[in-house]
Amino acid sequence: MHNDHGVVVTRAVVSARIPPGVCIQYHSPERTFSVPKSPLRNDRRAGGHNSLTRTRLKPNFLAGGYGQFTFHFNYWGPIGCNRDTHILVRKLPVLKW
Amino acid sequence: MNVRSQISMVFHLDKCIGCHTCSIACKNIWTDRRGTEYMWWNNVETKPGTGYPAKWEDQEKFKGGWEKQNGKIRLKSTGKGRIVTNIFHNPHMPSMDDYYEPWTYDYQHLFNAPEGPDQPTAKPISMVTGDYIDIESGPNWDDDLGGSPVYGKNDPNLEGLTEEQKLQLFSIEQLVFFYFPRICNHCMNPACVASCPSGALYKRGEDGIVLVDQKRCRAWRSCIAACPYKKVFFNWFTGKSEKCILCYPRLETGQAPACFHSCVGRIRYLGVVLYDADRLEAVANLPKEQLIDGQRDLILDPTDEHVLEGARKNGIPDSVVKAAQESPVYQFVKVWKLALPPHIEFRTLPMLFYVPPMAPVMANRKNGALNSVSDNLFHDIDDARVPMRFLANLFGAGQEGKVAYALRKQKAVRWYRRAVTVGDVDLETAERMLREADCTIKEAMAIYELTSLCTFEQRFVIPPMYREKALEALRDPHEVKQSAGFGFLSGPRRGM
Ligand code: SF4
Ligand code: SF4
Repeated sequence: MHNDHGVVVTRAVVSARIPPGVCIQYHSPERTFSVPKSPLRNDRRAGGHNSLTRTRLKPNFLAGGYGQFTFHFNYWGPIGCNRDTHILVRKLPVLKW
Repeated sequence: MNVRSQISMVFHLDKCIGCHTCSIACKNIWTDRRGTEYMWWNNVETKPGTGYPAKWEDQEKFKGGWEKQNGKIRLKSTGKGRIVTNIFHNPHMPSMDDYYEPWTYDYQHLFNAPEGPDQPTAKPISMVTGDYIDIESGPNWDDDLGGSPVYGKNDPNLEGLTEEQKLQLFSIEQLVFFYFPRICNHCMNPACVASCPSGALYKRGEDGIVLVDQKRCRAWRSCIAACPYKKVFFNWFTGKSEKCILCYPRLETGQAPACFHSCVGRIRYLGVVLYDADRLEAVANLPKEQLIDGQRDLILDPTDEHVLEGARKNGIPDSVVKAAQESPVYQFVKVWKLALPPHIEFRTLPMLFYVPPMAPVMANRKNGALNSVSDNLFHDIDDARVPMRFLANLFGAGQEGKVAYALRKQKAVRWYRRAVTVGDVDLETAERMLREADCTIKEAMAIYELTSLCTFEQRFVIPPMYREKALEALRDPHEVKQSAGFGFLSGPRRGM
């Protein structure tokens, strides 16, 4: 999956649960296992679940001391419903580790 | 009358959340050894789906269970004349492809990788060969309708559904799925036991748990082909077959099996039932439509004087009889008729029963809306998103009536409780529903309590097991887990 912001290489599942034209990615694993390299990144390791979206913080995200801003900077970022974006899905041509 | 006691089970599918905690609890205790990597004695499937091993329900493919022939029942997979011809190759045996090739990740690489321009990643490696693999399937590959165009659509239980129903089952906003956790059913008439040429499989006299004697097993693997639920597995390292042992070492110390104990949805119930072994063969031989009633009939009333006398005569201890009287399984299966056996048409008479799941109603009735003020208070059960035919193929030996009865009663209990606690349904309607669903207020309250408020002790009624009186001397399987099978006197060795 890629857009002008980044690339994610992941396994895709086709399911009757997901309507055509839509992709859902759950909070995903880290790149430390089973993430191949991507030709779109000049054969560097593909990204993770934060690669396709930008972090746009609204001031009210900061209110309340919620978990996503207090644990680790990996957790900084908007919540799911603010993370919809446009992507392109391609089959990985060659598997490179 | 020949009274036997059996530890039996109920899974309440309306409560299963598909979390797989049960599978992991089992894996960590029993199948984390070499040769067992691919085994899931407990697994949780998504329905519709093909399950694990893929399409296990398709007995055209696997030839599991019993079939009727000349007025008798015989094993589909094997028989005296056929053992020899199938020694080297049984065409109906599931292979690694039907299960999956177990894998792990090369985590060491994260520490040992040479310096490079990129961060290292742990690649998948096969737990059989140790080589790098490209993962192509897993034990739960079709979870939550994943790959439904391939897996969901090939569910053998879709047989008999109309094209329209099939289409609905896989179209957005109309589809539905539910979870189907499975362990060995510890059947009354186990095909695995009957098939073993070495007599290595046996059903324990005192509690009906079906086990493989690791010393006597000679790797014929007849049991694997014969079990229609595909719940015996072959350990490629020891060369012996293994299966769910219903955590008997835990039961013997008064604890529930690990998958029961850890179940997050609290869907699992365990208790003793008494049954009449004399009529077993005749019941297994009944026409398909009579099997459910026949098996229910075999289960005896633990308060009946004749039954108690028979139990005493057969040496069943009073404490076991008392456990049978308090058994939640007896209530669900025999008294309330809410729990049904999976695929009883395989004729092994499974002793694990399922309460069928309630489902959302179809959203595409005429004029786009359901008429909820209909006089028929149970209309949504026939219009449920899981077609009745599908559930009937799975739990009713093809009969919709059995499933409909269980669902109607469940709905009536819900409406009755809603009338009592929320009050937006009038009590009169709720009571009428109970009557129409063949349920009294007392029964409704008992169902409600055992479904929603049940404590640990109500869900698992485990009798003392009297192992000191049993024949085999056992070693603690926790102590000898890596070297022996499950508590047998010496370590299993490969070969004859
Ligand atoms: S489910 Fe299979 S393995 Fe278990 S007792 Fe029945 S036939 Fe045997
Ligand atoms: S632990 Fe219980 S609720 Fe979770 S998947 Fe297993 S049976 Fe279902």
